[in-house]
Amino acid sequence: MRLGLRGRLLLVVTGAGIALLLAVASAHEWLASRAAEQSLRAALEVRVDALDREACEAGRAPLFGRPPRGAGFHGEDFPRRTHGRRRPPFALHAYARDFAATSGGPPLPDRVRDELAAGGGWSVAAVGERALVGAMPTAWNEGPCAWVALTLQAPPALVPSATFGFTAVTLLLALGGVVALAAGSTVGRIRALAAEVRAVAERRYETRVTEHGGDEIGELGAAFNAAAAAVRAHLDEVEARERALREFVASTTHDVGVPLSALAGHLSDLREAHARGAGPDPRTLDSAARETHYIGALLRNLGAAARLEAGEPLRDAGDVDLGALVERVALRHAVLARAAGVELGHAVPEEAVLARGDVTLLEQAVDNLVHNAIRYNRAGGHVALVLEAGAGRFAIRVRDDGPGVAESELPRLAEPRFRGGDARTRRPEGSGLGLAIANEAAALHGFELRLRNAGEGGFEATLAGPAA
Amino acid sequence: MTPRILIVEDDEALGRQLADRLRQSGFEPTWLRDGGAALAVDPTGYALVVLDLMLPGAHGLDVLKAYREAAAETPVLVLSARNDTPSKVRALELGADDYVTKPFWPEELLARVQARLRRPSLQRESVFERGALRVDLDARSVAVGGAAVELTRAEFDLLAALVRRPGSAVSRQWLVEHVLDPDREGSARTLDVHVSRLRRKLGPEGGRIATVWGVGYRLGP
Repeated sequence: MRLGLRGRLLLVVTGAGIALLLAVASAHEWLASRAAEQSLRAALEVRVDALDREACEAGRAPLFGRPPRGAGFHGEDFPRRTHGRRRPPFALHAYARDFAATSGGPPLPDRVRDELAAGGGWSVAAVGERALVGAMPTAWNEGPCAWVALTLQAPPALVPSATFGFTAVTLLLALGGVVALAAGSTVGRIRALAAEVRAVAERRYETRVTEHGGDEIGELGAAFNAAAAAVRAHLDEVEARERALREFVASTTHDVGVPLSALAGHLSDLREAHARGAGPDPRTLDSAARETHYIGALLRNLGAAARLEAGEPLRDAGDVDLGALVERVALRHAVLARAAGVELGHAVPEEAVLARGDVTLLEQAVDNLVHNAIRYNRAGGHVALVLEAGAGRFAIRVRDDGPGVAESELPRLAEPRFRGGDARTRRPEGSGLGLAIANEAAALHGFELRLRNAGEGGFEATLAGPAA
Repeated sequence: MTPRILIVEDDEALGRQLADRLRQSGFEPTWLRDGGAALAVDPTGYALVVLDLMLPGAHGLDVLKAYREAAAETPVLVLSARNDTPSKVRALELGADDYVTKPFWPEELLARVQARLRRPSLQRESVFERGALRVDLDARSVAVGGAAVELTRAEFDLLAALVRRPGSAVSRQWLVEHVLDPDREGSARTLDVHVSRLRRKLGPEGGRIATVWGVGYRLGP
């Protein structure tokens, strides 16, 4: 069964109330029995002081009856009537040294005998449920009147009174009512807050809940608003990413589609030439090779762009063998260079040159520099790819003797054009995606990418940084 | 002896192209299409293994591990469509010797295979001979057609630097820093002077020292 907040509070208050009442009742009982014992002792002392030895030993009065006036004992506090019989509130009895009753009194409880025998000047014990018996030695403490005892019938406070029960129940009910009322307002506010939270969630966290009251419920509302704002920001980010991804896929499809169509055209030309019995046109073959190379480079760049755009730190850094990297890039571009009629030369130092970095991104950066140098060169042109090292630094230099770049274009060359929609439109005259990726990869590594027109014509790109 | 090469590639077209190209280049290829079949093969009889990673039957990395245990010396060249650093690192950690990402040109793969089989690429022997040219690196002597050629220290060091890596270009910067005396003649201009003197002294063999545009010099075939 589910208990509401109100029910729980009531249950707790009732339980605590009952425990409290029991504690009060037992304290009350203890206090009352202590008071009865004190009264009994006072009454006994008064009588022992006034006791006449001969009379006592003879079993004569005044063994019974009321104490002398002004003895400081309030005998009236005790009922005179018990079990319907009128009896004196106190009955004094004499006992011999061996505790034999000498005036017809009841036998003394064992505890009383023991305590008196041990030399205690006073002892008291309950007899049955409804009486107390107190005893003390007489001044002479011998003969048939060595001890005297006084019996007191049940003190009234040992039984809970009807008034007390009534008060307790009333108190309990009042407490419950107050709690229910107080909880009522809290429960109402929490319910209202829950309804508001549901409404905010339905509106995709674009609204807020009202934060009233400086108490915990107000704090709850504020905390929810903070959480909702965080959720909203996250949703915005995810939606923006999704949008960017859709655009990315759309423009990528376009970008790959264009060179693929060109490649299909070249293959179709070759097939027709074959059907005519003519040999393949070397220019068509070279163009097909260039398109294929372009598609390959595009795919690699898209992979790199996706990783760079994710804005992740350099997670996969290791010691990169730059000599081997340069060799691979040169090897990869040999076919393209041949197809473009460009002479590609490269050199690496004899000794290994290492740099700390992500091999895939660094290789893609150098790949792009070389690809551009070949692509924007003319037949008969040259491209040089050289790795140099010294003084704890490395430099990978890519030079060509192509047309170079207009000085006004230089600063814009490496702008991150791959962000956003117009990223990868194919521009035969421009540098497209490649330089931007090279630039981002360099920046991510803390390396430097310098782009400049070489003094004697052509273009030079240098990737430089600390060697490992 | 024709080097035997094991190709593990599940794509029909790519596998056939690789096998054909390697055969044309003087290798004896064996082509497997399935990871399970690859696991059943003993790699020790092969000079090199070209291994695709995404295979039916068994993953390429498992094949790589098995081959590494069976034949620690056989070079394994991994082919993968995954162009990311963790994949490369993982393959190299498991013992791959090289990693080629798709798409690639057959020429590129062939060159990587040849480079792997040719290692070490540095000239180890003390004596180098090509045509009429004979260079003894230890004795620091050069002869063309049996006749000794007198070279200056710088000229010999220049030739030695090219001879140590025949076929590869050596950059001007490297030559200036490692061959020329920095106090007297350490400039790029002097390097050209040294090279032209060297060419002249080598006579008909001088033509082997080729200028590589924007790079430096190379000892040609």
